Amino acid sequence: MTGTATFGDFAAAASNHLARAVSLTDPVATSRSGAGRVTQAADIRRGMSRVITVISRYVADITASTARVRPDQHEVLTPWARAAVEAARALKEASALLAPDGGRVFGSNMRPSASAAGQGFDAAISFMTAGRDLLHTHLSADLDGIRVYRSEWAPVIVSVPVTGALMLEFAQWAQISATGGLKAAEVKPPREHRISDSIETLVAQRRLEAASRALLKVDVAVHRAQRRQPVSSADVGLLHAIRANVIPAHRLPVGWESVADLCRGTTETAERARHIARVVVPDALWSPLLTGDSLRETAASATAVSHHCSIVLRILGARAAQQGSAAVSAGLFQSAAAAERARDAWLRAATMWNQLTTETRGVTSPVAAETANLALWTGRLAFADATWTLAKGPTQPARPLESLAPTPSDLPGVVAAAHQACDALVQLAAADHQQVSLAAQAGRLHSPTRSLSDDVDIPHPFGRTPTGRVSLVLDAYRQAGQASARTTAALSAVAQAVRAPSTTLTAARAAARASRAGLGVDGAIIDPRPADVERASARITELPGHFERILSDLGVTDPAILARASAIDLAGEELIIESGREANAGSMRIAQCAPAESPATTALVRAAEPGATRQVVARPIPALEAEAEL
Amino acid sequence: MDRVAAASVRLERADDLPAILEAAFDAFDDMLPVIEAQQDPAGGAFTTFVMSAAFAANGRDAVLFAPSLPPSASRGPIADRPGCGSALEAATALAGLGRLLDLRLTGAAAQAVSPGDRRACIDGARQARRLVSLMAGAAGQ
Repeated sequence: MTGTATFGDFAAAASNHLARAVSLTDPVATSRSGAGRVTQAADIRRGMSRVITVISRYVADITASTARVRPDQHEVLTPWARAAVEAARALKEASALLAPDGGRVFGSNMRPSASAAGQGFDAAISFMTAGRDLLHTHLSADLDGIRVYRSEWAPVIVSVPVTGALMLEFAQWAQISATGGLKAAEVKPPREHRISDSIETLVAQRRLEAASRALLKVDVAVHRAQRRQPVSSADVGLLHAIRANVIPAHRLPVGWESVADLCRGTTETAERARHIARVVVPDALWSPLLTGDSLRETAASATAVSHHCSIVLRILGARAAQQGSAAVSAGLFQSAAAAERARDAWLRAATMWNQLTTETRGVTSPVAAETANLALWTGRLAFADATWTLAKGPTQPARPLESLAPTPSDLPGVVAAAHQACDALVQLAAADHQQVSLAAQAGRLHSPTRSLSDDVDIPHPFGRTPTGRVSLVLDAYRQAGQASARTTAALSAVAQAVRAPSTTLTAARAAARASRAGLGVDGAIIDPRPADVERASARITELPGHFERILSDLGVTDPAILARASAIDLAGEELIIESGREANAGSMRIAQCAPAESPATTALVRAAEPGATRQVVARPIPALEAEAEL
Repeated sequence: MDRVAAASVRLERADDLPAILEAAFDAFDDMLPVIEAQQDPAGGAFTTFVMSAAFAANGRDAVLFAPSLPPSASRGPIADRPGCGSALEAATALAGLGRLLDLRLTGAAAQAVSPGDRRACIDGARQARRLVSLMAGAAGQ
């Protein structure tokens, strides 16, 4: 972790300031002058009005995707989606009660409050707004108003569990504010007031009381959803762990880093690599940064990262055994074996590039550079020499056991670093798979003539890469991604066991997967159709297959059953690939399927978009000649 | 290592730009199977050879699109997988060939008239230097 502020920091600060403001709201304090009591009540009314405004913005973010759903269709929404609609209604009611003139009565929102309670509200509102701004750094909208994911956290933020956690958060703010409002509503007008002023104050107090009761309905609606579709403390923890979408600064090891520094550098570089990888994909059709040099160097560096992680994990496994943690040790050795398989798969992808290139060359992309940096950071963790580089020669001893994790408490940090690095490889495989696919579609892939079939007569040193070869390259990336995903899964279990800081990563991936697959989304609390950017970077290893998707649409959430469905999908895919190879390498390919969506969502979308049809069934495409040019 | 030695001889004998480009193309291409044969995860120089393959292929691609590369280049058969010498022998031979590639391509860049040829030579020489830096380390030089 980099020490950057998280949503949890802002949310906690907002709650604390609100609670303090309420505790300072004393309706019967004799020490307070009559004028002071009136000022305080006015500040609280104004503060509550602003709280309602900010919470309404949070709710509007959530209900944006349900805007097209008619009230008579609300029955099909998830409990959380329905709660959001109810909360929006309650907030509107509270706002109208509190400020029937639309808030003009409160004057400028920039004016600081005079009372301590009002100042507490002001501070809380600042943190609530900052929290929303933080979440918005991960999402934006395109010109058509379609949500665009700007980071790997975006699908996490719009997932059902995290949306639910967010609603619990602002329900708490609503509840505290309403308590303060009810207390302030008890303030009696000062005796020295004229009758007309007293009547005005009493009317305002009654409005404050009614608005506070309306605000409590937010809390009621949210807790009803929580009973029906509970959000766990882990989901709340995930929401609180979200940081602003800022890429860590680029840095390289200088040679005197501690193991903790190396773990931090590995984590930050993995984060940079993931971020850059997802950004470059949509440009693959035209970008001059997409070069054969970059793609092969990325694959080669990924091979090195997997190799280094396997060394690190074997050292940790031995160390854990020494420290008496047999189960953890076994998990680490399994992870190391998985990393070795990922290494071999990445090497196959890298070797494929010996027969392939692009029309652009001589440029190393930022993705390739970051992956090389990741290889350097993980290499420094794996080898004893503090100044290790690839050019150091073949006799480099691995880091001693006691140096990598001197005590059991040092183990989680190193596990987290390896976990982050392997997770980055999953993203890189998906991104490069997409890039190769798009580059092939754009006719950007070429091969030396020498490497082509004798039947191909090209009067140049190079020619278009045959379709069959492109399929093999894509297959190599798919396998590298799957192998890296298995390593990450094995490491997730170890990270969970040792309570490594990277457990957040596991939870985030699960939430994002559910978000993409539409798991638990019976209605449209989130938009199940990701925007272009997200579609382009959708991870091959995480997209549900045919059977898994059907079960998800049926509402099945049992991980064991979904895992079985996934295994069936995988077996089917392998059968197709095998059959395709036998039937002259690529004589059949499978059409892309639309993103998964539940029957209820489909019904809603169809109702909202009459005539809209979607291709949801995989269908064979007419056979292609294996060696035909694209 | 015969193929590497033969590539070195051809490169030394090449006397004009097209010949240098063709010999450089073949030299980079001939390095690949030699490097692949050394990519043994159990060996100490595994990742060094993996990255070297990327640099060799980059160098080959750099000259592949040079305007003066004869159309007949890249038409010959693919090199057979070489016999497996030691990693040290391979690294030594590859470092030597890499240095020669750097020398000849840098010299050719100075003579090249076409910007495309010049860029191809400069890029190829740069990739050769990257490869040498790794192979020299693996060879203990």
